[in-house]
Amino acid sequence: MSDGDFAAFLEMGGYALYVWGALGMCGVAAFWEAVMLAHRRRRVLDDLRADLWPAPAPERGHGASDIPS
Amino acid sequence: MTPAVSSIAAPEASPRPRWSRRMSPQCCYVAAGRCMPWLWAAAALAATAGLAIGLAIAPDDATQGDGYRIVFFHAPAAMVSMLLYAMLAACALGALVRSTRMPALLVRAVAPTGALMAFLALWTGALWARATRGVWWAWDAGFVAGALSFALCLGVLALHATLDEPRRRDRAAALLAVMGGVGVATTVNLPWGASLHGGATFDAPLSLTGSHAWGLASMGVAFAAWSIAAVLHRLRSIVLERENGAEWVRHLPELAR
Repeated sequence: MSDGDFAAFLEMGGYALYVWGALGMCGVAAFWEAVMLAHRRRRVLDDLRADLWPAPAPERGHGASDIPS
Repeated sequence: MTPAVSSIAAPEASPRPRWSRRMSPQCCYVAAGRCMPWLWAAAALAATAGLAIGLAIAPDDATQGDGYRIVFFHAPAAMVSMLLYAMLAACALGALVRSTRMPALLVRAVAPTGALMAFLALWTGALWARATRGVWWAWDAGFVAGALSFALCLGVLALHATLDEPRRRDRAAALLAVMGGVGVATTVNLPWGASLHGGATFDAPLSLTGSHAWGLASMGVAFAAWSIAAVLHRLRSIVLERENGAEWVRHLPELAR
């Protein structure tokens, strides 16, 4: 495929804006949905892990030496 | 004397899980997880083939030149969005008449993808109408049904989010989905013109044969497989959100540290 062919392909017979606009929005939508799905799953798994293994309460240093007396 | 044991032991000895058990959140979570990789792969393969055929291999149209290639995005998105809305309404009806838990969860799993597909159908439809007729919008059955299902999918989610009590919010969202389904079904079937787009859309109808048909079929499979995979993925998250205290959830391998 020569450069001229590729340029003609991109031009889409004058309909470049419409054809590539349709493809582009479908790509953006798919990407966005995948990101939202992964985000939701990560969030629910993190919440469940936090419920199952609560983080230990922050320990006071031995003898509370950091509290000025 | 014939032994009467079978009728007594039947429920326990049944080799296959009963329907109500298979519709349990746990079974749905596991089954959805098994289906998803195949659906993602099918979507990727079909999209690759469909894009190659639709954008490069299929010859241009006698009347619309290369502009007709929007059909490879518009027709699958529009068809899948209508199917998703039908699925949303069917699940909502199931949630209203049966007491099983899954239909109400499915309603919320379908709605976001339904809205997304309706948006894509509207976006590509607007581009196509602009390219062929010089307008971004027309009051025909296709545009109105797309706008209705887009708004209703978002409305179902918004209504669900405004209420606090789980059973009430599920019922309210399901009611809106079913009532809206009457509107969408009516709109699609209204005789507003000779066809979905008023009959005046094109100077000459597209001739979709040979490579066109293969391209359309591939893109249809791609959109459908993607949508089902997305719905199942979201359903798994929703099941975990709803079942967060259940014993089976605690033992999920994906929760192990």
